[in-house]
Amino acid sequence: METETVKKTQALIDKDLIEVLLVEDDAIDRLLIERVLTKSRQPIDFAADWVGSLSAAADCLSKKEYDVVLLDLMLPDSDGLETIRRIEEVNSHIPIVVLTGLDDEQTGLLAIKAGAMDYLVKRQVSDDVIVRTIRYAIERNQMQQTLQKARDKLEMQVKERTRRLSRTNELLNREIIERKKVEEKMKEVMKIKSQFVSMVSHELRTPLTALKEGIRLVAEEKTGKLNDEQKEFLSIAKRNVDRLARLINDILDFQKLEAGKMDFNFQENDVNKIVKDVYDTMSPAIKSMELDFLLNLEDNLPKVQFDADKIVQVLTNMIGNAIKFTEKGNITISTCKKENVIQVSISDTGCGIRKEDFPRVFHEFEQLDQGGDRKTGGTGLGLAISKAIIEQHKGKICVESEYAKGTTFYFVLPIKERRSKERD
Amino acid sequence: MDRKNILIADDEKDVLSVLEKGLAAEGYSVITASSGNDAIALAKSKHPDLIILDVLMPGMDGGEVAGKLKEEPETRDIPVIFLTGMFPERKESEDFRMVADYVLFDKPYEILKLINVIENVLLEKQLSLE
Repeated sequence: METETVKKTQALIDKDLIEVLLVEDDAIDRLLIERVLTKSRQPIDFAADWVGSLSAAADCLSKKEYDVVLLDLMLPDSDGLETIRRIEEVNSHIPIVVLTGLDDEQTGLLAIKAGAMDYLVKRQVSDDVIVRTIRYAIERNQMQQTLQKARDKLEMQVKERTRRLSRTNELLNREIIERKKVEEKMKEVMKIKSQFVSMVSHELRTPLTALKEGIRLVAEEKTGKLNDEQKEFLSIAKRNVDRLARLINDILDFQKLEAGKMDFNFQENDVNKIVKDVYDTMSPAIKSMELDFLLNLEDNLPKVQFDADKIVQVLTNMIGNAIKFTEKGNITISTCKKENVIQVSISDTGCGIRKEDFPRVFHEFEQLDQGGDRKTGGTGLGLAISKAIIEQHKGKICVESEYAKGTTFYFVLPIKERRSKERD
Repeated sequence: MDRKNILIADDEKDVLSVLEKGLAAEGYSVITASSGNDAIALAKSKHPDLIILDVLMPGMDGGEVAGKLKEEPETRDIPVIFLTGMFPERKESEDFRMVADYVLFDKPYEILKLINVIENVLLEKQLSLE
């Protein structure tokens, strides 16, 4: 058993020759220990240097690497636990085994507290005890050193990580400040843009009014009789002045919606009534184009909260689009109740929209190339405005279409009563 | 003096009508096309002296039309004037600009300035033929 332990220890120590510095001023003690070491029956050899004073010990330690120091605390130039401290000053990582007198085991225990690895009671040391003590001292010291290194490393890592974290923190803070600055600037720019757009649009309306009125006076023959060709060109002029007015209105609306400045007048309203009103207004235009204009309304729909003018605007825009892109067939407006919403849909039998174009439909300034004839140009703002209006009603607007077969745009408006009931 | 034949192509019918009337009033004979395809067909069948193309048209735009005309021997030599509302980096009081062989003319056009350019283009073509 013991050989095995020794082997293990040996393997841990990993040395065949253990260099010992013996610091002992008493010649007899010195001889006794040296003899024990050199006569050791253990498979390890010891080489011992002897010194009789602390200053000589310090000198040796600074010149040569020792594996262990056997230290008598009562030296001519040092006394007591102080001696341990002074050895550690010279070499902080060497294991120290303190040599104590027969009647002084208490000092040995204090020495361990002061940093020694172990103690040996002089004149009582067999070679087994001394060898084991030395080995264990070296081993324990190595383990302590390894632990200390690991601890140091960990501490370094923590420090490094903390440093990196605080650096990241600093960078983040800086970025936040930068972003805030950019955001401020963006807000400023948006404000200027908004002011600019509304100013320009309003300025555009003034000359437009004069144009429109001038054309009207001539067209209605208030200034004299017109021939057919004159009437025709005036109607072109009128149509295009109206178009310009619509464009300007669209841009203003869009601007308002974007800036969150559009006022909504939410009232309890009947969806079917609004749809019928729009139907009546647009019927002549659609029928004149030889399209069927159909209504498919569900009876007894609950009333919902919405801004009638805005919903009329959405319907007009959607029907306008349907007219633009439908050559023959019909345009149908349907209403129905679905769970807690009312759905309004406008279907046409027009040229349809390609699936890949669906996401662009509601984007501002998008005009899909329909390949056919554009009957009336637009700003590409109509659907973007409609979408924003419906979203202000907490509703949704969607499109379904089959290319070359037709398109259905629909929007839903939430039913309020239902919601509050559900909440109760 | 023989009346010069001008083909105009624009997808906007109103613009087409007023341009047609404006040019006719100045003594030109005018053919109209409301799409790029029509313009190419008419250019081949009627051999106009000059073509005015709207740049932004659905389907085939003005640029494509001009490219197709250049490919055909019978239409290759007909001068083209582009009308565009999106004049790139337009300088003040600049109504037209030469881009390669083509004239780019700003929309909205002033008919007298447009006619001035038309006359110049026709004259140049005549000189190059002589």
